[in-house]
Amino acid sequence: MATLGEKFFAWFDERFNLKEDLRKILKKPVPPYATHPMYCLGGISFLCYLVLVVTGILLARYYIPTPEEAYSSVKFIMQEVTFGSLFRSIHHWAANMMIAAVVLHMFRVYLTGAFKKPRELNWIAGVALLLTTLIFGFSGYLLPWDQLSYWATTVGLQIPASIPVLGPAILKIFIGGAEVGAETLARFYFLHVFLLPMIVFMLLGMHFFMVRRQGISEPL
Amino acid sequence: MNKQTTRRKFLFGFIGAAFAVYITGPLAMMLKFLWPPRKAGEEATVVIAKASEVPVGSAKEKWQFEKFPAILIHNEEGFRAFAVKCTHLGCTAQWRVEYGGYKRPVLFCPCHDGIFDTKTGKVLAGPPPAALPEIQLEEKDGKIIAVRWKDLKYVKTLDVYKT
Repeated sequence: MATLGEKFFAWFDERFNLKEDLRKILKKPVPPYATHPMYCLGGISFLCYLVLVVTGILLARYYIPTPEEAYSSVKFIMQEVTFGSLFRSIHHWAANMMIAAVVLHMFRVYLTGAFKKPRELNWIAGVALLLTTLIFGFSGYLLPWDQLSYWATTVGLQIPASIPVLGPAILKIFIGGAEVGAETLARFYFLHVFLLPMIVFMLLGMHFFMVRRQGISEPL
Repeated sequence: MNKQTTRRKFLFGFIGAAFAVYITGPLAMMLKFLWPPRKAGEEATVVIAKASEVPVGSAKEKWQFEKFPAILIHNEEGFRAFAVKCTHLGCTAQWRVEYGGYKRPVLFCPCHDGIFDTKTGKVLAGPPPAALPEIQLEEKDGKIIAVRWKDLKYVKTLDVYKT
């Protein structure tokens, strides 16, 4: 007597022959040492990312990336839209949590020596993910377009601008003009909702593929 | 195979049902989020009552317009509607056929003895600083419908009507 779920799966299995492949992917045992909380930080980062994707898609429904409308649309989300303040707050806190989790994940990997051969490339993918996460946070911070975010961006952009030789060019690409303005807002919005999600998606694919192929490194 | 429910199947069904309940809440909230909220000043029709239910000289209380308590009044000149959140400190003014020296219907706020006129909403006595805002009415198929604020700009000047 097959349950509804089993019948549903059987329909796909009959056509795509999934059973064997799925068994390999889903039934792979987690090594006992990897159930320690310190080994969950990567998964927590990913969970935060999923929460951010869902709440971010919702917020994009009301947010308007122009200097005239940005602040008032955020205010509209916070004060008028049903559950608006809830979803924006979840987005805000999940972003903070994600950066904390990603940094702690890096510490765990570093301190357990998990970056050593054969996992060098996965470490590099992880560092790229850390940097994208930070740029994610930085670009999202400008979007409410209030005094805090405006000056945080103006000051924060001085960090890449201080890089020798390349600094001024990087600043110009981010800022899109003489100073932080409508162009910058449009560029940060594009980064935040289009480019960075795609980059993170690709890097995560590589990150997960490599950890599956190479296994989770054993503790010291 | 017999059709007996095994413990495994029962537990899976139980967990599935719990999960369905668990996931429905957030999904409903997301749908509610995506539903565009009305912007202030947009029409917010409320069907108040059938015209025949409110004879001349009476009023219908206990309904809301834009989340504010409101009253429908029928006098010899016709139907009128006001929001009855007192402009003083926000108590709800009530319909009184007679009150004190007034031998005609008035709107009476019990908190600090504010008294409003039933035809214009203006302050007759007491501490309220401003008149009650009037609501535009329409009559359709024998029903009285509240449509919009008669003077939205005026409503926005009232402290107790800030949302």
